[in-house]
Amino acid sequence: MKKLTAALLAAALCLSLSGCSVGGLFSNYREIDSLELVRTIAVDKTGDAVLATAGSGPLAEGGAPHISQAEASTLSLALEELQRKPQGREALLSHTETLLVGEDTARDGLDFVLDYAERSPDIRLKTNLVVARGSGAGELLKKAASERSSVAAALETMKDSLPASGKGCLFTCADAACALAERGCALLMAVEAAPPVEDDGAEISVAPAGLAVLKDGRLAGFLTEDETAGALLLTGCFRGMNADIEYGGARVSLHLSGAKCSLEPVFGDGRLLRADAALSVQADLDALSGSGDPNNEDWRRGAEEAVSELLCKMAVAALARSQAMDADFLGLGETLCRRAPLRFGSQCGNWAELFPRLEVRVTAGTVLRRTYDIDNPLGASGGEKEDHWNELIS
Amino acid sequence: MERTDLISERQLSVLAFSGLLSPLIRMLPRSAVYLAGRSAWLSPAAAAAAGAAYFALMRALLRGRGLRDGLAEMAGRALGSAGGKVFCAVSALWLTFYAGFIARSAAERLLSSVYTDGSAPMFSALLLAASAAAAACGTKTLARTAEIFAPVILGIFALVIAFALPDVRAANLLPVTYKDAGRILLGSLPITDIVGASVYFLFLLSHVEKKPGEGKQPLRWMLLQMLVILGVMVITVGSCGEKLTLHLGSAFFMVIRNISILGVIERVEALVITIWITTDFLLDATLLMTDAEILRGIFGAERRAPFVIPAAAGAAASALLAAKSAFGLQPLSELLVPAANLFFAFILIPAVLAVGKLRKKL
Repeated sequence: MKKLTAALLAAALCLSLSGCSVGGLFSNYREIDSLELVRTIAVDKTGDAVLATAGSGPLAEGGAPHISQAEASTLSLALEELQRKPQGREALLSHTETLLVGEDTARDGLDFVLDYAERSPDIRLKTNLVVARGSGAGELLKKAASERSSVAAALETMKDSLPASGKGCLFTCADAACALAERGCALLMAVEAAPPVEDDGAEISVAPAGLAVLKDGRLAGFLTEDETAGALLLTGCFRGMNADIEYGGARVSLHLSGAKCSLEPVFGDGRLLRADAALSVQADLDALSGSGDPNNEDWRRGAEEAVSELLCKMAVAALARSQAMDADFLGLGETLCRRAPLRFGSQCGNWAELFPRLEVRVTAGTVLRRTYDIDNPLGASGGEKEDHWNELIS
Repeated sequence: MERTDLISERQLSVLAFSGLLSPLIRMLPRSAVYLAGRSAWLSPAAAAAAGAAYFALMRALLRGRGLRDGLAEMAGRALGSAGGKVFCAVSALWLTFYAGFIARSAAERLLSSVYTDGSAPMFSALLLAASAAAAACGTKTLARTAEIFAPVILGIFALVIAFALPDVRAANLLPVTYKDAGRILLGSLPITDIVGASVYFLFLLSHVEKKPGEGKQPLRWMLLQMLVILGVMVITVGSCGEKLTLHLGSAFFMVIRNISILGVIERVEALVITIWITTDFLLDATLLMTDAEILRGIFGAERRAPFVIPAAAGAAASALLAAKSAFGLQPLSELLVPAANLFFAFILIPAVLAVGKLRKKL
């Protein structure tokens, strides 16, 4: 009898667990083809209201991304309304990759966006947080949507390519929330509208626009190209970039990679005197036009010094901007504290007061590693290569 | 007493390991970070040392235990029949409230993390009903259930910790210097407090067979528990940093939401919620079983099962009445419950056993 009862109870459980039955335990069960997978949510403030624009990626069956909009007094209500809109499919927010915020909205304050990301059961803190420079986020999302492109697709490509180009880096809501909580400022990636790509069908394309600086929860400014590269170098987010330098009458194109940054506090007279930042990078010669001889050691040393100068220039620019804004978005204080925690604690005093006037000395070292098996560009050497071999043989 | 319903010391330790993970994850890492700051992730190591010392003390105090003695029987011998009954009644009342509080906390967590439109009373009632059904079964059945779940719980935690590690930043965990030792010890308080709650499981000692070589089982499982908690602390504080961890209601859960398994599987929080509910279920079932065991002793009854229903009803009432909302639950979670655990685990129960020793009754 006991066994029979147990079997009947188990069978009854199966009925309620199926997900198909009305009154089953899974009341929130939905068919997958009735869902619209939202990849990007654009957020703009319009007076006292919040305008949320949700966009999917280009559809697998062909067709432009679905874009839908809703306006309400809060972001949470706007998205709820957006989900309830009768538009054929229900907007599924749980796999949202990016929260795109318009510049004006970001200047007004991003607290409400981070607050939503922290509270919502749908949005993850790992969702990218990006600022739409020079435009509204919803506008950018709509104008960049076509059968072949979308903001989501553009950001997907940028995710890997940005750090390797020195033009930026995607930061998440968690990065921003953590940095704002720890040091009151944070870095975010910015994108902007660019001329459309041919045959794309979209009104505009989306291009990186450097890093944006948040201070006290509000957008405080954008970094220039050099400052962005410098910030990436100093925060360890730099994966590589292509650099063009003029050296010895030649135009040298190099690919920089393997960047390292070491920050050391320098103490003296019982206080923090300055910080020393040592950058190192590896360079590979991509192209050479004009006169230049990579086989000549002096030429190589000279080229390395020219690259190091460029790195210093970028790092100094980022540091100067950070100090001018009185926002330690590079996390300098934390890094220095990690290097010598006890001395930093006792000799640094008030970091917030010290930071804007702290002397930071930047040095850089470059190692030119290879030329990809080409000693001199074809056609430009005028037979120099043959001469080189003849010299060696003789 | 069901003399055949016996479990081993290992099984009781597994039950404590699985059940107490629930309050540990609820309280941590927030309460430890509140006390220890950035260095809180090292607090489980300090708590492990404190727990080991506490276990050694309790083992010494329990040395005079008879073959079928539980904590209730030992208290009876130590304080006399009337004194023992008063101690048991107070313990039963507290355990009833604690079981209800655990059910309500589990319900609130489900509401705030997944089922935002759900009902706290319904979730509490369902958990207590399932726990009561398990508590009405034999001790052996519940212990075996915990034994089956323990590797699953461990496996899921190991996976979660492994896949969350890439998001950990050294900058959020370091620096830690010898100057942080005091704060680390302070941060170990909430952990030790919950580890101390394993003392409630001693009421079930009357169902534990003494087997040679099993003496170190409680310590081993406690150390394993601390290892899991260390992992939880590292991934949470390492991913969110000190201040964001304090800002978030359940930072560990936020970290789980972020987990991506090789970019193929995402949103694995449902799996962790299931495991978390399992630990709630095991703890509640054990508390109700303990409660029923104490009541059986007070009323001198033969069987324990009939006392499970009043215990569960009392727990349901406390789950409903403990707080009107999540706001009301917070002071209970952060002040009343830890204080009561501290009192029972580190003052009352050791004192009762010490009195028995001094009176040479144990």
